[in-house]
Amino acid sequence: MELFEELRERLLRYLLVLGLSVHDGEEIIQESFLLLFQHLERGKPRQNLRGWVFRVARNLALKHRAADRLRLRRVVEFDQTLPAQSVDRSPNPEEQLRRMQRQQRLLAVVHALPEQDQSCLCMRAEGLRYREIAAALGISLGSVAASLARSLARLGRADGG
Amino acid sequence: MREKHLHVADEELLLQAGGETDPSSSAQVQAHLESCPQCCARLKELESALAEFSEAHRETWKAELSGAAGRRAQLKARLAELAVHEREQRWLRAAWVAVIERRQAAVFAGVGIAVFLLLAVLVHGPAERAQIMSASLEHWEEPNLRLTPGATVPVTEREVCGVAAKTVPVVPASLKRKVFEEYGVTPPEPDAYEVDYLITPELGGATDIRNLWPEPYQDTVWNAHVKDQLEDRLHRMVCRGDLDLATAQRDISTDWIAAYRKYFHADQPVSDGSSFNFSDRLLPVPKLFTNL
Repeated sequence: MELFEELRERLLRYLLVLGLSVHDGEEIIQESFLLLFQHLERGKPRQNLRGWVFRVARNLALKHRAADRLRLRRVVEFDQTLPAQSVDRSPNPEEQLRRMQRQQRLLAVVHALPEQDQSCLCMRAEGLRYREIAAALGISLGSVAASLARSLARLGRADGG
Repeated sequence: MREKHLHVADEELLLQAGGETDPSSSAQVQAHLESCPQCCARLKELESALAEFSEAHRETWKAELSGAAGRRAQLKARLAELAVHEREQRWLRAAWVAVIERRQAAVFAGVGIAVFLLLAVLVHGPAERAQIMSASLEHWEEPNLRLTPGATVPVTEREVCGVAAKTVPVVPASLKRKVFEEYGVTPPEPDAYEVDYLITPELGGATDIRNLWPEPYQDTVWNAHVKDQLEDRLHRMVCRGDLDLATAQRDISTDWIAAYRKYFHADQPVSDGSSFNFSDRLLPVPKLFTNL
């Protein structure tokens, strides 16, 4: 349950970026932890469990997304939800608007990235280590770093533009 | 502009900052950073871009993260249920092993059956062997209609063609487990099957055990991806007014393979569904069940 406490919000944000609804994201998180329980019950390796959980959740999410064929809903919704969430944090309306526009610009760039680059970036933003991301996506450390460098360069260009 | 051949690449900078560089490279990169203001500045830029994205990312989804306590309680309840199930499975396995150990005759009988099957395979040739080997999988190309007759919710054509109706809900893990148990798929391998709706929710199918069965993903010609094609076609036909909803529900629940042949005018799948086959892009979920 400690790992669930630690990872639930991180996983949910990641699954939302992949295009799942909150309800489906929560169900996939529950299923991932039930699979983790079975994994541990059967004496399987305990290394890198954070990477393991992200990997299982991603696989389930992509399968569900393929079955659901509803890719764009969250992309549309994030534009609508962002302003309401930013209201009380900014000192004045101009600053609030500037901040909101910048966030939208960054998130639009992320939504345009290939799925693997999105996953690398989101997992890193959620505090996973490079080796955990590599295990979750089944790629090398170098590929994780290259993907992040690519995505951050794009974000930098978007921020400058 | 940084001259790339004189400086550390972005990915190396990121690995260094993340503490993931191997010790020998790490010392070199560190030495370079101490003497190169441009690379230091670049690293700060990269870290700042990541920090800014992280903040925007968290801010965006902040409102969606409520209900942690409820979800924790739900997981606890499901884990308790699963623990009971696992204990029962262990008990059954242990009981079976005990029976086998105590009764050597059972072992001889088992060996006899195995020899018989081997002879049968050798006598009947490769085609029959393939049939015998895959019989258990192919059995669920179509559901057992006694277990899965199909179940619907009351909806109209207009409702199934609306935007809101397009979501196919995730089948809860506990319900999936019951479906696997009902079909005797013990243990389920997550990558091998989709617990699929016989009548898809896009055509008014219900999330009900009578409407769900474990459908193979890849190992048969008539697999889950092919059925997805049929669901798409029927949904489009219903929404265009070419087919009434009740007929679509009846045809797909009576014999979906026959329905595919009828609506695609083809004896075999027109493609294997690879146009939206994400399995190619998926990593194998670690095999959790091979010990059983």
